Amino acid sequence: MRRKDGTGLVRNELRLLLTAADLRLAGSDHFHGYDLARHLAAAEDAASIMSQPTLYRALRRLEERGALTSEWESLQDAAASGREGRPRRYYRLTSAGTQLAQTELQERQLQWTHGKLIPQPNTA
Amino acid sequence: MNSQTNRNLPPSVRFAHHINRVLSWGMQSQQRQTFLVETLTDWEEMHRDRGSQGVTVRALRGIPAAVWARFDEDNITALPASLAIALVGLAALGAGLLDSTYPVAVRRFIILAALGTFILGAILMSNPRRIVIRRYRLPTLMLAAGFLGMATHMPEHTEWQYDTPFVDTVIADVFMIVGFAVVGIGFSMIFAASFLAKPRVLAMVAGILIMMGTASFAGGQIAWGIAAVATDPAITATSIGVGLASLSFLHVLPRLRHLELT
Repeated sequence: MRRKDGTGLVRNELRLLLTAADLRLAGSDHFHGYDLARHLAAAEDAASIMSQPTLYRALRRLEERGALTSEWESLQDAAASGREGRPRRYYRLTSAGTQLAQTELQERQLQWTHGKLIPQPNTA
Repeated sequence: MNSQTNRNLPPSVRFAHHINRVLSWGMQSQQRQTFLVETLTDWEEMHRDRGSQGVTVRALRGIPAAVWARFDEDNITALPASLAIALVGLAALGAGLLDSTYPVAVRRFIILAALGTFILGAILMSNPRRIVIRRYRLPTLMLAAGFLGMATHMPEHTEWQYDTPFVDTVIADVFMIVGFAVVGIGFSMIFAASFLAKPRVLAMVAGILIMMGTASFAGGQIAWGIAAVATDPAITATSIGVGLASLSFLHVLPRLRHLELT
């Protein structure tokens, strides 16, 4: 239920963080929630997209940890995009978030390949 | 920011948004507004991607995730819990007042417990972020007396006014008696805890007992209601209603542990 303070990321949070890093590498510096979920599903070749409660809960937690920052677009920009009064919220990956993702991968001995978290190959 | 839909949006988007409105009910208002605005724009974009079916499927698929997520909300309110409690009280009051159904002795205890439940829910609704335990002395005393009275005055199925007993099993009786007794003891403990300087531990133990007793009570009520289908639809409707309301109470009761207790 309630997570203890100081615990690491849950799997979904790590996947989202790594997807955000991929998006930044691809040149998308900021993204909205659905964007992130859609890219994650595409990377995993999954038919279904992460559900909204799971997605936004994870994004909120990542923001609380400082791994992401967010800002709302202006109402004028929203209106120009045909979303009168419904601005989008855009997220950015922080350097702390990048570091956190790398730390989590190392500690869990995982690697991120083609949108999947897989164990690192054993090195003798 | 506007989290309201309009007729220009596709029906599936409006449907998905309404699901989110229900699922987010009881969230802190700022957080809820943010969630609804973000997700509404998501639904619009998803509709462009995947059409109405995609939106609808994802909306329905989000229901279990949302229910699970609500158990772990950091900024929860106990408003749904309060309302569930108050509704249980109202439903039970209706049951107690059905004069053609319950023997008089147990009916008084039903009314006492129902009123106590309703008052408890009303007090909790007035301040859903904090439990000041001494404010709950009266309703918890009523609930303790009501449930213990029901446990000790529960009529056996042969005492009902009908010519043929419609509950030919003691299982439903035992479930309900045990449930009433355990819940009554739980509320007695909360009443006692309200006099302590540090009530939390006793209140938590009492809460667990109340959950166990409620589960037993809910099962018994639903079984009772099903058994009465052929005999008295009023009992069926009331008992199943009370049983489902009690399950709802059971579902939200764990959330109360997040509240500040003084």
